[in-house]
Amino acid sequence: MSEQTFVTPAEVVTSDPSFMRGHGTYQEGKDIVSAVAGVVEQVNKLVTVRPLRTRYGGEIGDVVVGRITEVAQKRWKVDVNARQDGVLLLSSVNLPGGVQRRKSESDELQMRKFFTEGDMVVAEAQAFFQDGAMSLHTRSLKYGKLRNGTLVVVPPSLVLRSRSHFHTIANSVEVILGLNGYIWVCKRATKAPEEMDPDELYANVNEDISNQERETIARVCNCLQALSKRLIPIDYTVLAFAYEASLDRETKELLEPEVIEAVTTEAVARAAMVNE
Amino acid sequence: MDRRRVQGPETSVVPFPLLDDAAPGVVAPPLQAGKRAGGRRPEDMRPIFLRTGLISQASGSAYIEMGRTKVACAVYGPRQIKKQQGFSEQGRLYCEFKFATFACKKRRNHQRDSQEKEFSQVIVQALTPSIRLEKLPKSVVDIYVTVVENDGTASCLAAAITAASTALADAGVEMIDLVAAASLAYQQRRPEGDAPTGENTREAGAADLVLAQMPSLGDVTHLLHRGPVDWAQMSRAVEQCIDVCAKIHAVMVHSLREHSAAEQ
Repeated sequence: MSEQTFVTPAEVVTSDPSFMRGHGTYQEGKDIVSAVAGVVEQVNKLVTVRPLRTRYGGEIGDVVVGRITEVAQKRWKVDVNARQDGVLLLSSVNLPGGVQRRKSESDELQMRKFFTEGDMVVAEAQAFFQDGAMSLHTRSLKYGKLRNGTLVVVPPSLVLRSRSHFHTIANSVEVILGLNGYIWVCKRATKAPEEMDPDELYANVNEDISNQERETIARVCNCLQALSKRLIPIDYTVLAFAYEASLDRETKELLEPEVIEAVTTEAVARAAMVNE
Repeated sequence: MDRRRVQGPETSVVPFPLLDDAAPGVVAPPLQAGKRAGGRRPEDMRPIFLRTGLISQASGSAYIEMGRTKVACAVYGPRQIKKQQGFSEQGRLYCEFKFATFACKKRRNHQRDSQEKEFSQVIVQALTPSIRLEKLPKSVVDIYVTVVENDGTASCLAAAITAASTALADAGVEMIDLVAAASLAYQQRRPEGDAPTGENTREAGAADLVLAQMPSLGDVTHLLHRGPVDWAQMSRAVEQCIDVCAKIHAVMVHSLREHSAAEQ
């Protein structure tokens, strides 16, 4: 089997009975048949078909960025680009001020003071429920409500797992590479979360953002879009090089096909050099 | 009457008379013996243009043109089912089929009428057997079909089913096979494939047929027949449709493959 075989649904992947069928396939008599339009992948004797576009699957420990869609009983529903909404339990968030105690009924009544519908959050996947929905937590000062920035959506398979998903670019912009394909680009916080006022953690007001900061945010966003258009796996190294390579162009030029080509090619080449 | 929307004019005029075959001054080329407009044989369909991924916002999408029949289809999901709709072990398919207000000879309303609701139902029925819904508990897949131009209502429905199945494949939904659909109209009691608006209205008791099929498995998923015909004609028509479905399937595979090549 060649490495890049593209199959469509109902196309026979292999008739060799020694193979095991994996995701994206089904058995039809002796044949292993594709159930999705995608690329055949083989690990030892396991044959899978990876669809071109998928929703986010997720693993425990993943850093994800999501949007609150619903406030429910003792929990928030979070859109995390998965098949089902993620769940953020009231018991898995930090109280302002870092007080450690059980959440009472009064906390339940003022859940909207923490997160309301439409808020962006960064969280970690804590566990999975029986039905496959993801349980999230924000019990660290790294996680919590997102402000001062903008969201970029890329295919989830493009975001690489790495040691850290919180990065600073050009000393002025913070990037949170959510493994679910949601990437948050924002102004660098002036205060560390530990120094923040208890109420500030869940505040809904943006800080002042200067024009130059706005420009840098937009540039980083466009770099991400460019990388995603070329389907280049995104991690901090590639993004930083793409940002550097983009500096001699205007921000708005970055979405033109020729510029995308030039900038991403340079970024990939330089990232490959570093990784060696 | 809907007061929130700008009402279209009561009557419409063709902006470019030259483009309309029926306009005065335009002489359609004479038909060859045994052929239809455009030099088609009775069983031929019109050439198909099919492309995926045109609606970037959607999880998957497809746009299809067959002659002047133009249909756009967007698929969203699988996403979580709403609470009000209740729990379900299997995934659900939801379809909204809509003619654009300007798609037909007569202006359509913004609200879906009974025919559009029926077509939505037909699309769900035609696609459900192909999709592995047991893989998607608690989820729903939404399909939105918009007919931009209607040139043969039966052909619109067939094009919609074909486009929806392609869009589902584009969205990465697991299915056992693609579904291709073909339509035909009976012309002087003879089946003619993929008829545009003008061809089917000449005689009273006009009949047409839409057939959806999973070509690789050879299973028919839906058959919609309208009008009186006898058994022999009907079975000939069904066979003709099945042949056409195989051809449409090739086009669907080609467009999916092309799109994947473009993305890499």
